[in-house]
Amino acid sequence: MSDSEKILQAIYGAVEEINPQLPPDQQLTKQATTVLVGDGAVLDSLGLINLIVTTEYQLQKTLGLSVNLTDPTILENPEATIATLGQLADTIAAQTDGEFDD
Amino acid sequence: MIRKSRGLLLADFTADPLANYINNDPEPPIVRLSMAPSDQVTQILVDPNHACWKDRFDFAVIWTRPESAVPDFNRLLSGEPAALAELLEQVDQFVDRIKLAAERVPTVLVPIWTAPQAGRGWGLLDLKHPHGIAGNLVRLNQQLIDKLSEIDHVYPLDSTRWLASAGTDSSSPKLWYMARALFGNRVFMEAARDIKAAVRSMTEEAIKLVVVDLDDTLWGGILGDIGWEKIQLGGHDPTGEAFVDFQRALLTLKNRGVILAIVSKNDETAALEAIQNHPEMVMREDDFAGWRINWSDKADNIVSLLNELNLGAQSVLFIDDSKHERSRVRQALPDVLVPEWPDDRMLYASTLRNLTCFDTPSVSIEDTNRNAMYAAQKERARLQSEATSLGEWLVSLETVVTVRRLADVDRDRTVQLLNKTNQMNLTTRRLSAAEFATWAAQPDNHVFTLRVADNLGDSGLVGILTLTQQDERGHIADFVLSCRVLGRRIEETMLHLAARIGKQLNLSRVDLHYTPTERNKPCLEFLSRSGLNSGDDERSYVINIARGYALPEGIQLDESGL
Repeated sequence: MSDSEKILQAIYGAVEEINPQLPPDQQLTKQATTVLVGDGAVLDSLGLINLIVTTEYQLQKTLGLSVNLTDPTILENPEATIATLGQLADTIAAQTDGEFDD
Repeated sequence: MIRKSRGLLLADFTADPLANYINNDPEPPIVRLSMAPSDQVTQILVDPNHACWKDRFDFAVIWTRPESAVPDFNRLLSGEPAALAELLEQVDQFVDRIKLAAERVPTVLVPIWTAPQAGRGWGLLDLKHPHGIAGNLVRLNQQLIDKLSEIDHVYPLDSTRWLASAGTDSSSPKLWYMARALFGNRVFMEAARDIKAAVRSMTEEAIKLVVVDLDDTLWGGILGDIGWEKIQLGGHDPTGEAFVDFQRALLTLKNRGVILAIVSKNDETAALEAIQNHPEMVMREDDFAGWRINWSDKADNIVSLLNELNLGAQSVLFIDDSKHERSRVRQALPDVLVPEWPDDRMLYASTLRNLTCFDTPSVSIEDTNRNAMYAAQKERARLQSEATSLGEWLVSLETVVTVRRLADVDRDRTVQLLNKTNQMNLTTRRLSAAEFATWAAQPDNHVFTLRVADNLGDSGLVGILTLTQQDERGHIADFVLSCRVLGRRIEETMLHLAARIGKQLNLSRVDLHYTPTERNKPCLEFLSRSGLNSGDDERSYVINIARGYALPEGIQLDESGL
């Protein structure tokens, strides 16, 4: 499994954790193409923040990765960094390049 | 149709995840929790005309931060001194606002205060120093709990347990700064679990009977293979100690009024020998209201026990280490609660202690005496088996039924009985304490309670008879009798009383209209063999006041309180 795939799995773990506390129309599907920001996005701002913070926990817990996803370079231009679950995984992979334990 | 409970959530921080957890949960009771506008707790509490109160709610949750409910707590957070008397006065003022909410909703739930943002406060001195944050928070919460506990139908909730359960995920500065969410997901999840349990305790029957298996459940090992001297129980063995602790947890439930029984595939003589003789057994034969220890199907054995104990399947919890037995009981008796049980024996006690099915909004004398009542019930059954006729048996019991108009001291128990009784319940009308009080205060509504005692024990307040008067007609609104006294002709005594009361009120007839539910068929069966004339349809019955209704033989009636 590639680093991006491992990260995507951790993000899916975060999705599983936050879905039960989202209204039904905001719940996310575990697909790389799921839209987080812009047209077709279903999360409100609270849901997006919760996903980001929960993803940080999941990355730490499952992969031992310490990342800061609330960094302004990510949140100030979300369409380019976290537009979809897949793009979120790519952004994290770029931020953690070479940090994987294995 | 399944009734939805509706709640209002007032919080001074972002608590949407809590509402969503509860609203998304498909397990009964179905609850719809609405969010009040955030950060307007005080305004909403003090304003009875606020838009929030336009809807009718079954309960409210009021969850605040100490620094907003008790303004001087901010001084402590800033490292400044604050007078304890002033802090406590501000707690009292907050409680006064809660009282206003309690006048508008039947039940109010108030999580006690936590201060996750305070960190270690004064460190070593945080509990000792007069201005320590943790020490003062304990004092404020104690005042809050004491004052809330004085208000009927207001319940403080232990939020510290939710934070402990969430561990390091209990809060996040990022969630706070970016979304004003004071807590992490796990805290809201635990809070949702407790709030659902609270709602369930008010709308459904609590678990009254725990049925346990023996081998690898109450003790370790297979008794038939190793003999009672070798079963794993206590000693210097960690797993043996875990079984002892599990037995202690069961005994704690017994002391709270839950009755215990055994259903086990075993040799009865050998099993009872183990229970009586093993030096490390915490529970003895007398701790169990009954048992079925044989090689028959466990579901059949549970049904047999329920018949003996006059209980419905919905009031039973079944604990068994075997997933096959759990699956069988779930399939055969869907109303019986069968929790998943851990393979790890060291988790048995904590699993039992963390179940929410034992929550009750009040504990009556009848609850705490339940085990003694069932011991008396066993003795009654023994006498019945020896008597030559039902009449002879009933006469031998020397039953006394005491009836009186609703007294204040009986209100809690009456509401509990009204909301928890399923089988002998004419209309299964469910009312909150406040709704019941309003109904009972109407001049044309009459409420009577029945207590039953015999020479084997006092069963306590077990019956409710309520009647609405309309000109010369009376309508029975509630005909409710606890299952613990069914079959002892108290049902017939209630009809006799209805006739007597009708005469006292100068009525010509009293009508009973049966409203069917999934569980109250025994009430219809009783009415159909009662000898009463049918009314307008097959579910209606009429008591002719001129004719009366005979008091059953062997029943002594004390109606001095009428």
